Amino acid sequence: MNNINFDSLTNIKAPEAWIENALNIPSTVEKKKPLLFFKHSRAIAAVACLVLVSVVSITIYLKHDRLVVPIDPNYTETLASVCNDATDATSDKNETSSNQENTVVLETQPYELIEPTEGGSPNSQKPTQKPIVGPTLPNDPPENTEPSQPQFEVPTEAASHPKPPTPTVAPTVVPQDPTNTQPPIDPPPCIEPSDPSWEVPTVSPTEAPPSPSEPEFGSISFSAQIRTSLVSGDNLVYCSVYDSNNHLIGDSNLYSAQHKAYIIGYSDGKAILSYRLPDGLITEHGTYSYYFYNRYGETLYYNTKTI
Amino acid sequence: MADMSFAGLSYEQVIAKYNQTVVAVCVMRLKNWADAEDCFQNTFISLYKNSPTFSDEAHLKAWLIRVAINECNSYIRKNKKFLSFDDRKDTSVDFPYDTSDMSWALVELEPKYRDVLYLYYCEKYKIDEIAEILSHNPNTVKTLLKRGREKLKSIYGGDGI
Repeated sequence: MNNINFDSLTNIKAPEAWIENALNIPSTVEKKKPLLFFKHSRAIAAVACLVLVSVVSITIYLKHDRLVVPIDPNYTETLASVCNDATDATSDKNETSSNQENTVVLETQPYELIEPTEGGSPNSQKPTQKPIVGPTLPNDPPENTEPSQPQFEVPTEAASHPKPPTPTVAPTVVPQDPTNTQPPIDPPPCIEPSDPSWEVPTVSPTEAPPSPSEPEFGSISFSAQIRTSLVSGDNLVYCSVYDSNNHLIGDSNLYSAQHKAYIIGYSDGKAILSYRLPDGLITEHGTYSYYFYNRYGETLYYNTKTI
Repeated sequence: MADMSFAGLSYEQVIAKYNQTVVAVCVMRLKNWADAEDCFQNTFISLYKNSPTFSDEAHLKAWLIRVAINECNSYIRKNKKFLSFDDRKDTSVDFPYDTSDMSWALVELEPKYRDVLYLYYCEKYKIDEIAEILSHNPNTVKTLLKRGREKLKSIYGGDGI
């Protein structure tokens, strides 16, 4: 630069008023106090994230652990059906007997929910029981049965039955008219029995209850929910039932197929176990205790059930 | 207020020593006394509020220039829609035409050239220091300086810079 300069700009003076105002800034402006948060913001943020993650994890864990899955009343039926299918798959019975067992399970399922004290002896009216009254009964099996159909369909309440000539009556209802010659119980609506004798009503309205020697109870199921971690890798679960005198019900071999229980599902970290006691093993009312255990004999679940 | 210190200077000493630099930056940028006053005050308010730590006075001066430029930019941006040439005429800054004092020509330059030339010729900063203050690459500063000289020469119509 030779002769030129910027003196006008560099020598510019700030008015006195500006300087006075600038000097008065401390008295008019509140000083911003440095916060500890900003000095250690990263450390605080890291700690806060850690705490947050921990709290969320604990909350989820506790919530997950305490979650109780309500069992719908209709759920029992589902469990029984699934369990029965599994039983069929593993059993060595012939096909015919399996079919009959299928029928038994499916038909007796609604009756399990009925208290025995209600309506006399509802179990005596089960259509699944072997017919004890033969040709003397007034009702004969329907003529248009289809013997070629080997297996029954699952009965549904909503389905309508095209065959029975009489109006459908709830199975547990005892006919009020003692002179009624019609069987007190209609067969399940959709059943197409292969054996005509199955259609024969087991009990007439005036008939006395079955003798004590006959099985009064159908197959009874026991269910439990245990934590999934308790289930071993092989998923083998067994169940044994004891009566009030602590006598084992059923096979003395605790690891036989008769004691085999099944894991029928998982829900929120819990395994749903189900065990169906074969028919006829329980013949008396009372309180029964049942144990679910694994193949090592470790008890997974214990409870009692009044029947 | 008494315990505040900026690179060994009290708040009053900072104002007394560097008010001229801040005023020059603001006036050069805004070319208006009223607007320059606002930015001038805001610069020192920012100094008082933030109370930054300076290693030396050069750092303090560079910080004041940087903040003053930012305040002017913010002011222009905020009042872009409301500024009127007629309204500003009363308080506008007029630098007299002079063949040796090129201040009048400097304020006519584009801001990016004006800042570099001002810092280089008026505040006697080096290229690297200007680059640090303006957050530019040194090569960019060199380029701006070269082009700024050419533009300034074209404005005042001579050579010698």
